Amino acid sequence: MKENHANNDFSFRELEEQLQKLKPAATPPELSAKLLQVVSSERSLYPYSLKKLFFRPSFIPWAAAALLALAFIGGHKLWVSSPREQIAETVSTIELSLPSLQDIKGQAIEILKVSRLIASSYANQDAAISFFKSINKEQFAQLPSTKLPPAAWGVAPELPPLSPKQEAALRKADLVVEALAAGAPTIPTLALASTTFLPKTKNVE
Amino acid sequence: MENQDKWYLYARQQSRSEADAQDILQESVLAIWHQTTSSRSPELPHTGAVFTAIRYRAMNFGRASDRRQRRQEEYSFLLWEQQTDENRYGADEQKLLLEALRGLPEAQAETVTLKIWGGLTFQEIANICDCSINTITARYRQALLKLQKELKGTFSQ
Repeated sequence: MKENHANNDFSFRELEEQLQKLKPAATPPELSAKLLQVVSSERSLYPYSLKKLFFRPSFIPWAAAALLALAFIGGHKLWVSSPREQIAETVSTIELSLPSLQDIKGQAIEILKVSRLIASSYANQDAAISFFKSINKEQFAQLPSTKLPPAAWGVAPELPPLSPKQEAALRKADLVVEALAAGAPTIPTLALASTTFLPKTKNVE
Repeated sequence: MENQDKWYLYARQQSRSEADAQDILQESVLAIWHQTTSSRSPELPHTGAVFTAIRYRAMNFGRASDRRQRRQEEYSFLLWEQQTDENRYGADEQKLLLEALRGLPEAQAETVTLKIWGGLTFQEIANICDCSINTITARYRQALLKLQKELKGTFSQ
């Protein structure tokens, strides 16, 4: 801003100073009171008023999210407090997806038969146990086709009836099968259990 | 509310009557305060926002037919600061200065009002008047030149 003008005898700065010495008249008292009331009432609403808090436009998304969360929690509580019949039905549906105990027993007996057949090829029980300890689940599953000749595998279901001692051992194995239903031991572990009804020496049956 | 006097002066300048000015100022302050307290980070409203609101509402109130008569009254709201030793001028100079102010075109008078008594920067005035800063500085300079011409010989260094 050019402050001096050649054709005038005082500067812009002098003129501004004189203008600034003119002060606006005071606002009428009644208007001043109204303005003060407006400002104080608006300030009183913020930030302590819950009404103002929740009706502020910036809080609308948060309020919506809070309502959704409350609705979810309420729905969850309703589900939890639903009739027991509904829960039992859900649990039974889950149980149906698991193999039955009889199925597991059948699989375990087959495993026991195979294990017995395999163990019979060893000189004694200790050797069979050492063998079963040295293999894992996948290796055990391949045993019928590799360890034994197909003829021997085919006659396994036709093995002679178990002796009373072997029956007792099988009942022990049933306990293992029970445990299988609850915690699912590995197949080699089950095979180790099958060695309990094997003779301590080479099977001569 | 230390700014209410300058707001009222501007409202009085932009309106047709004192009653209109009071309504405009009250509505403007209410709107700005409400907008401020509703915002995410509330702060005291910038004084320029109130000037803008006053200008917008004054347009809605209609500034038209009796503009000339209004302008004869608007600067009567300006009073001399209390006389001090530094103030070398008296009632005669005051009268001449007010007469010179009344003779300013409306746009120049508005710019002078916002700059001198509103305490705003040229950029803030440009925002309020919705025009460029060059236009505002030109208006202000032309206003001071006109006042210099009218007051030649009144004030001397």
